[in-house]
Amino acid sequence: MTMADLGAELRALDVDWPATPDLAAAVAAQVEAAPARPARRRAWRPVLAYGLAAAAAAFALTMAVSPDARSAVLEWLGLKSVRVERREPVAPPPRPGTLGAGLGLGTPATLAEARERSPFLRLPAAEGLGEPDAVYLGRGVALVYGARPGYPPAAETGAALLVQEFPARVGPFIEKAIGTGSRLERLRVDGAPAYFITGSHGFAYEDDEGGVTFEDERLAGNTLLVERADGLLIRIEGDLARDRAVAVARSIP
Amino acid sequence: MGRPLEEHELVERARSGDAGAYAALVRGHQEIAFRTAYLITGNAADAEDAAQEGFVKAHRALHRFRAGEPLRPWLLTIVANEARNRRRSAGRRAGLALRAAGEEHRSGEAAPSPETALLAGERRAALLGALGRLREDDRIVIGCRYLLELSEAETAAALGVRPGTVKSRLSRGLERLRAELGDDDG
Repeated sequence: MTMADLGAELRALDVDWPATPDLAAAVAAQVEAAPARPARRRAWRPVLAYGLAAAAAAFALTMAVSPDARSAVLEWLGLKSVRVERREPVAPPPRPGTLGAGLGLGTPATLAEARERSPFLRLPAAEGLGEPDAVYLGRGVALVYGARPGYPPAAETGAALLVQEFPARVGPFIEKAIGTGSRLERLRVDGAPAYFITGSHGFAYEDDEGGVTFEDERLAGNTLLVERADGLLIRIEGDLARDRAVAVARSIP
Repeated sequence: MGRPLEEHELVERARSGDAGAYAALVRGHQEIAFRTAYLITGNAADAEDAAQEGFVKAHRALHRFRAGEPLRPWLLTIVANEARNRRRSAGRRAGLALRAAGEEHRSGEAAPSPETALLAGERRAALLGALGRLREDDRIVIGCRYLLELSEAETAAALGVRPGTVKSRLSRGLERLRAELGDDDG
């Protein structure tokens, strides 16, 4: 039989699919609880990506935000996978529950599963950290650590430390909304470009293919982002001072 | 009024907060979304979760949808991504169990279509059995293209690959399906 015959035979199969549930009501209930975000301008990408990435140097770049700068995209600072928007974050606070649940990190997994599915995964070896208390697989891997000596729980996540690792990309897939209460500092970690953002800020990221936000924007606490030369993008979030966050990043082999 | 709203009009209304318009879009696409998710998860409960969550996330991301483009591939991208996440978290399962309608006698249903009648029950069962035993990638590409009759672009969206790779994946999948069936006369 030819491939075309096989195709025709498959098409003619009258598959007994499971009954399609009526999703409209359930979706409507959830949608009403969290209305769609307004459209944002997106035409900035190519221009700013090159212009500002070239303007390197400048340490400790503090962002002073004027009220009329809300929802305008103002800065692009050199980490290729990260986009920074200067506007007030719009996310709801995290829901209570399991450590890291409700943060849109993906699906819970064991450490062994995470290692198997994400070969790029590296565990931080910083002193006193030990193994993560929860692991999520989504866009990259998320390691969640509960409170332990030296690592107090953070208000934004309920966890002491959140370490996310992503294979870096040329285009931005992490979006940060830096509002009036936050400050962005540019630094280098072992030569790799990095940002340290203090104060609550919005955080969302995109999927591999479509440029769709799969995660809700949420409020994030102090965050260090490091884009390593080996293609690993590290995101460390917690109620941590800069040097401590840098130490955790440096402990990732 | 009277004229049913076109999809792009519903999208515009949903964007500006019209929940009824979004519900209409969900109703229009839920079957294909659910079945695509089912092909990926192999499980109706997970497929329902994935489709529902996909529609909720699509609504939140509507501002990113480019007006004028077809909605279905975009929705399928999101739903299929949800389905893959669920499948991943559930670990590897046995293959997909699909049945052809008419294999079991079900009272109160219309007689099988002429197309269905053309195929012997055994052959149908063998075909679906073989399909269910294929590896996930092959099964999903064949299921999307032939069982759901999605376009190449929609299949690419459901698989999370570029449209250009659908053809080669499909012919590879069909090769393996033929081998699985034991058809060696072609």
